[in-house]
Amino acid sequence: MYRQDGIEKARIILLVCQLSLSLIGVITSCALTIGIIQFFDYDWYDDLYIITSSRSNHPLITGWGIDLNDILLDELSEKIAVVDETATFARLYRNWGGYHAYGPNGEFRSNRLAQMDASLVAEIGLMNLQLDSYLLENAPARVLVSRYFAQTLFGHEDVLGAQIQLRSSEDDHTYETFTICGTFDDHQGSQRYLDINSEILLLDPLSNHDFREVGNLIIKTKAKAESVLAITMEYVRGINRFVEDLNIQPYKVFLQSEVELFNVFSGAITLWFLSGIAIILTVIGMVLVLSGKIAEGHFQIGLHYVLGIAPRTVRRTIILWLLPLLLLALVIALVIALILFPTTATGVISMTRELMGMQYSMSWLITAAFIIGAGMLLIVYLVTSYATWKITRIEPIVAVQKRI
Amino acid sequence: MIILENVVKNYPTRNLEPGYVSVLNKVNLTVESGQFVQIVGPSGSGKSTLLYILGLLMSIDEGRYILNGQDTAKMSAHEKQEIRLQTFGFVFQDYWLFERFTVRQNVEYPLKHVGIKKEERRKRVELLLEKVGLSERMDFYPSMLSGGEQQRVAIARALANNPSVILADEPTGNLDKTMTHKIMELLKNLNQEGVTIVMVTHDENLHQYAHVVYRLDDGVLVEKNMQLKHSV
Repeated sequence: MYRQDGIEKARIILLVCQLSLSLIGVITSCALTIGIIQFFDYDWYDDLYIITSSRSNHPLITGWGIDLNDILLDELSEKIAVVDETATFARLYRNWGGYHAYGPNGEFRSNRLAQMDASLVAEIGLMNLQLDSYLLENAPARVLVSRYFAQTLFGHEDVLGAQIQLRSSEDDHTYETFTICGTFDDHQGSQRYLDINSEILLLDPLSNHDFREVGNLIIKTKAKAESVLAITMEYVRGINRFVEDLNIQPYKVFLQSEVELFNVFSGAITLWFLSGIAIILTVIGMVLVLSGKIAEGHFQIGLHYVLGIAPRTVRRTIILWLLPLLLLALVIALVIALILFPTTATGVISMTRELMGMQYSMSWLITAAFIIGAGMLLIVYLVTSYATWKITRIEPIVAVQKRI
Repeated sequence: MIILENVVKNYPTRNLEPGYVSVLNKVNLTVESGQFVQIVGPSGSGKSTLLYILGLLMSIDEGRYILNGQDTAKMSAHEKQEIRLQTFGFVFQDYWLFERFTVRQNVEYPLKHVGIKKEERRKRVELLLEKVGLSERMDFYPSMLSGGEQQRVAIARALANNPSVILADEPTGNLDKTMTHKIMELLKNLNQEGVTIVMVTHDENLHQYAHVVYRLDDGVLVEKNMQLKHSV
């Protein structure tokens, strides 16, 4: 940066372009890699069922008013609760005002699908009823959630505490966002929380314009599917005695049915494809940055050889040149993530959420992310080693004289 | 002792037709320990190439290069690197300093790679910079120094590892007359302390500093002057 003539400026522009490319590649590949891993994490689908009907005028689709829904859910809650106290129910639907999730204790509305989680709505409703006025006056508010709530949410006893934060909209007094977190002895709990957003996206796989679950009943319960179906059928027939084709099936199976399989796989292929491109871009970016730095520092490298400095020292020097770039890329990526997806909102990108989750536990997802990071650094190291090895193959005086 | 026997060096031609241009043609040269040898010649005559070969910075195509009784053709890259670090000190026309290092760091850099402790390095750097008259400029960057001062830093760096031979490529090429004289005096003093000096230059008015002057013309080396100005 000492001589700001044309060549120097061109070098700087080249380097900035290379760095930007590398940065975009790193961010995209990290986000996509973690996103893909979460995409195939079907853990949330355990005990998750969907009740559907083929008839377009079925009460489950058209006749479910709020009152009817309430009664059915109350009935289901009452009967299933005998079997399994952790059962929660919700009906998801969409209208002009946004997405709605309905539970036995109230309705939760939002214009953002990502805020919805069918298995949580009942408890969210409970909190709404208890603290509605307080929240409207003091949003955002923090509420300590009951042990029962945390147990329901995370499905095990090792709950030390849980917290819910709601923010209300000034326009229509609906809740815009919520964040839930918990601390646990067991690692599973906080991870489940952190997966909320990606899980709910799976309810609307990849294409937000086609919300297939509208009108269907989503149930997350440890009760027997047959029991749930029998109770629902009895209730629905009370409304419409001609109903015969009510079906229940695990949600995972539903997703993998013929029609859904295509969508899921096409989405997965798209994601893998994009991820592949991102990783290739990352490697290309890194190699370009590296070669840019080596070209820029050719004189320095050559001078090292002229003075008789050992090749391993030169290699270390080149890696040290790159280190600030890598750190800069990491800092910029984190800043962008925090600006675009602040941690107070539910829409925190995967990387930030994983980092948040690290204070509670280390999941295999995080381990995998670190392995990927280490792999990329290894690639950089190998490329650096190869480049320096190549330079040692030429005569020192040629290296030192070859300025770009 | 440095001995070149029938050394040939060719460069590939840069035009479309493949071929070679001969830079050094069966060059023979012997440099005794403690000598001050000058090689003069016009630009493009192969002086720098000859110096680079002597400094193991460039290989030869034919002939033999014997350094202290060892045939350099049989040396590994690692051995050559060690010799460049510990036996030779290099001074170049364009100084070739690390621009992002201070004067002190530039001189200290070769010392770092021979296992000398920090405190000893510091002392030696101060001594060397005092020797070349740059004690007051230790924390300056090369870009803040004049050409003559930069060349003196390069000489101090060349002396860092107590080399037995200094190879100087047009060390006064970018300097004015006064500074040229100062640098040559410095080299002469070093030579009087026992350091062998091989210097190439196109300035034929500097022969009074050398014990032996050779002339290189069209790749052929001939001894120009056997007149000794100093005792060896």
